[in-house]
Amino acid sequence: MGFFERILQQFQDTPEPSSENISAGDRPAVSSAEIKLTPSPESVRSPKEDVLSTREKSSSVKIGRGCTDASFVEIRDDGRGVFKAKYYLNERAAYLVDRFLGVNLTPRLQYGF
Amino acid sequence: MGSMQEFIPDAKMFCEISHDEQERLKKVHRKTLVKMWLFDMMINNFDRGGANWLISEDTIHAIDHSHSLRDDEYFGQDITCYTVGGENFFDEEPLPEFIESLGRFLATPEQQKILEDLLVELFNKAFVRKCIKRIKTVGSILVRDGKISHNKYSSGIAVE
Repeated sequence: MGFFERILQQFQDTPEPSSENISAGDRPAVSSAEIKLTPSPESVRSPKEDVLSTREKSSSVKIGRGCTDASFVEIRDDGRGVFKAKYYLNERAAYLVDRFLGVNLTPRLQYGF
Repeated sequence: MGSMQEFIPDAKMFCEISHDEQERLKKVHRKTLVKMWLFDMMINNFDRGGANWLISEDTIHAIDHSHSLRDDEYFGQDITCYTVGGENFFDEEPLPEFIESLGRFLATPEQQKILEDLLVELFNKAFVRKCIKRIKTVGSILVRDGKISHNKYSSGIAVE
């Protein structure tokens, strides 16, 4: 079983919000299986995004706060990252808006693992 | 499936530092806070509590956007001005570079189309159009006025 599969299995015990209680924006328009990793365009992309998506990951520690099932993850030769298994589409969307508008306050983020 | 975000080792959550240090660093980064307040307006982020931004001597970082860009009945109609660190930033100007960057985005349909296409990978098209309209509404005000006027917009901004 792969590293992220193991993390995701940990989250499977956490119940998802029922469809009656979440708004349309909470739900992806496509299923997770259909989502493919799309790199950011060159104008807003950085090597850090490639590191986040390609570098080997080792241990993880679940972060005890928030509703997004976040974990600290060790990235080989590159410190740590924060992995989120919930609301990651909202995270990615906010990151893209941040970069396209020149806000540049949101740490580098990749999705689709 | 999930997201992986860069970890910022040398910053602390705003809520973790002392009150005196909070007040000092808020003064140091005042114009950047204005920018984060404006960003939250555009992405409809109502959850910028002290655990959702990091601060250091050098800069601030916006984290946890799980409550951003969620559709509700008002998302495509009205823009609410939420608070950052318990404050709002009406009538305050962000750094001029940010206004210039917004102006370039608004003047470049190609960039708008690329962003729209990337967001369509995440959300449905109708919702993405609402997102772009929100960005353009706030961006146009900032390019024109340089700030969000309390007199005009304290009760919200109508999406145009």
